[in-house]
Amino acid sequence: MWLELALILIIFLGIIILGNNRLGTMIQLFALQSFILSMTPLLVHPGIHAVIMTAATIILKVLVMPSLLFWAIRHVSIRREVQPLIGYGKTLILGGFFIGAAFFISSKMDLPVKAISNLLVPSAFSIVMIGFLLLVSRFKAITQVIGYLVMENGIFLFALLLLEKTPLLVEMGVLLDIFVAVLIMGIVVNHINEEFESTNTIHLTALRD
Amino acid sequence: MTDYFLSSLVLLSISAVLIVLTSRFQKISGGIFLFSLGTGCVLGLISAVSVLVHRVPIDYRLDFRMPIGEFYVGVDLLSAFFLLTIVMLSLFAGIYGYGYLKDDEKKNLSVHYALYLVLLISLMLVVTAKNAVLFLVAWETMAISSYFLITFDDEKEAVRKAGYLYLIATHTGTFCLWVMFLLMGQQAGSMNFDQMTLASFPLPLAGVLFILGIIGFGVKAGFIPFHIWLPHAHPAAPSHVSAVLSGVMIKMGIYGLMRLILIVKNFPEWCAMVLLMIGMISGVGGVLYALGQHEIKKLLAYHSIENIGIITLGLGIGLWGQIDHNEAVALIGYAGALLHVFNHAIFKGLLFLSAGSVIRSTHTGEIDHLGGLLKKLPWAGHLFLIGSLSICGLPLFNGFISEWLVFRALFDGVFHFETNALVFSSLAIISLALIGGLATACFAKAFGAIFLGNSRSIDNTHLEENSSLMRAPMLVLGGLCLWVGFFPSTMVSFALGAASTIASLKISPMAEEAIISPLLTVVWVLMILVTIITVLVLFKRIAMKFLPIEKAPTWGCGYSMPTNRMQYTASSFAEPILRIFRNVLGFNVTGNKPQGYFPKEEAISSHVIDASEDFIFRPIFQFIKSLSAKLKIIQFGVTQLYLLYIFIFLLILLIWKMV
Repeated sequence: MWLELALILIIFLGIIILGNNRLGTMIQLFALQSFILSMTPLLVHPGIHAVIMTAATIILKVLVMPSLLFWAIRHVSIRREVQPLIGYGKTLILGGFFIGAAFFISSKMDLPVKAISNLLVPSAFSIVMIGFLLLVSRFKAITQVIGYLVMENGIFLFALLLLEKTPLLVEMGVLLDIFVAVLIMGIVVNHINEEFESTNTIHLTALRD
Repeated sequence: MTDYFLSSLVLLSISAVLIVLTSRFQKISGGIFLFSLGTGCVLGLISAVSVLVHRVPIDYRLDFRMPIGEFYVGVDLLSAFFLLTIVMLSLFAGIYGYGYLKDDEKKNLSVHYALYLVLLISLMLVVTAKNAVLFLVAWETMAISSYFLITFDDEKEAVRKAGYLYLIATHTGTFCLWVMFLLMGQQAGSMNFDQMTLASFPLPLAGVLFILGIIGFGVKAGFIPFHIWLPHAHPAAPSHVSAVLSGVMIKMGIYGLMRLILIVKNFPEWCAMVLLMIGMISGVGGVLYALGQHEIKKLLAYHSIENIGIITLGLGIGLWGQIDHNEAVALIGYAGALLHVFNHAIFKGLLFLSAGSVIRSTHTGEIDHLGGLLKKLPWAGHLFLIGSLSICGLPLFNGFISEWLVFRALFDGVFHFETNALVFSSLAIISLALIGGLATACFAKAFGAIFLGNSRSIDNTHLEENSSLMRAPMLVLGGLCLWVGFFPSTMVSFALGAASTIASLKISPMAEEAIISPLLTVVWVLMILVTIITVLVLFKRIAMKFLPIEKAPTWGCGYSMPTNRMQYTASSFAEPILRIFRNVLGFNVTGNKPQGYFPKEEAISSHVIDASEDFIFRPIFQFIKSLSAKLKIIQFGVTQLYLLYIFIFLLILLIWKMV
């Protein structure tokens, strides 16, 4: 019951991120999504394993990464995504379509493990697809990072299926990887900004042959 | 004896690294190169010879698993024979190369030396790998290291283009090899060669494997029409590298085919037919194209194609003997092919090295610019002559021995086979005879134009013989040519041992004796003949001492005012033969002959069109190029779009998995 509520909230937050053009708000929304996400292990399998997961997720995804991202946008002084590749209205419609597709695909899928909730797999898929849509439709490097992180949240939901079976060490490793990735991306964004005086990734097409 | 082989590999690998590390000190790295090359090759030689003498294969497995592969090397008789060829030529070509390059101060020679060692290591691994994945890894290493060796003079555009063409050709071949080995591995359930040998392959599958092998290995070996990279790459490379490329590397294609025959064993009859046909076309085509060349190294490159043709003829008749269960034909055919592999490595190495000496002294390889070099470069000249006599297959030189074996197998085929096989053996005999004759004409042209007469356009007066570091390796190679020519029994017996491995037969000393003894008789008779002629010549010399001898310039020809340009050129020498074959070769002459009593200035030139390059591969490449230009529209350079492609692909996969 609580789990379903959390999952629905996570999808909603994903949609709101998709329709937003202020970078600051997007980061806050991402932090909120991650916070709800971090509660889910406790709802699925209460225990020491889940508590550690929750704590680690909150520290990394709710506190450290958003502040890193805020630091990055302060540094490059951008506030908005001005010209997306696909407009906001269209992205929202596409997002709705993808969520439908996610439900359709997961209804057909054979899983080796029995899911705790019927909503778990479709919502994981939806979040991955929303993250991907963000990656595809936006140009600013910061939005790309957010898209990547949202996608990772979807993968986290998938991992819930196997929470009992994955060793803690592996999960910690994954979290550390993401943290390092965000750190590097923050630095890269800065460098792109210095080099091109913009964080618009469309400038990277200069490398095309 | 594994110890010797493995320590040679380890020594070579370590010194390759050391050479790169010491590249600031050219003297030290050169020293390391010479030392490790010498020691490594001698160690390899010991292990190869001991396997060939005792006829006991050795194996070595390292407990190091790659995905689907493992480090499993072994020296069986076939590997040992090729190993012998590799170390022999690489050693001498390497020493020569050190002498050839050591005064070059513009380039980083250490990298060149290190790559030479890497090529040597990969060649040794190719012939000893007993696992398909290890084999392919070594094969690729060989292709890439030789690419860098070919493009040594990368400031020239022709060299870069030749290297690029080689890279494309060799990778096309490797693609076919992957498919071939995967099919074999699937059938045998293992990627190890010894398990593959135990598996049985149905005939249709064997045919498919054979076709893939012919393309994959044929590109490397230079079968016509897959030879297009070869006449470009050989002249582009420095001479000692051309010697190794032509002497050993292209033979890896032959080794691969032999290994394929050893593993699959049962082939349909048309496979042997295809091999004989390729042998005839490559042999005759190679030598005809060679006749039309005006550049010495390009001419030698086409001769490599010709010799690959002769080797393939031996291989083809051997395979036919194996299919027909005629052991003698199979053994002699394979042995002829193998021995020609060795002989060709030796004499072609010698020819490339002496051609290199000429080019290094005169700075040109254009035959029609040279002339009269025998007096200035006596070493290079006489050794070139020995190489030429060997490559023409003339008696008392090593080429004769192996061509004799191939001839013998073909004649046995004529006597024992029926219908198709009979027709093909007879055709092959005719082509082999034609190849020999044309090769003699071609080398009469090359040797005559370069070393005899007078210089046509180059100033010969200041030419000097090259250093002894370059002469000594050539001298040894020339000596080996004569050794095999005069005392063939050792090498023939080695070749027969390796041949029995290919055909999976046991060969008794009696049978071996029966094959070798007629050969020895032939050599004896010829030796007596040569002794008689030598005695007569000496007698004439002594008799002439009492007569006055007048010295006159060469090519006097009774003209009152001769100039050096009034000589036969290489082109005019070859013209009558090329005219006969002009329809096959696309031989054409441009320009006009001088007319009237007071003719104007006229120029005339002739050239030969390589049909498979101009009419087969160029259109194919053009087609692929236009196709890829069309595909380029999906290439925007926008990261987001690439992500979209991945996303769409993932979705399709998911949906496809569900349905």
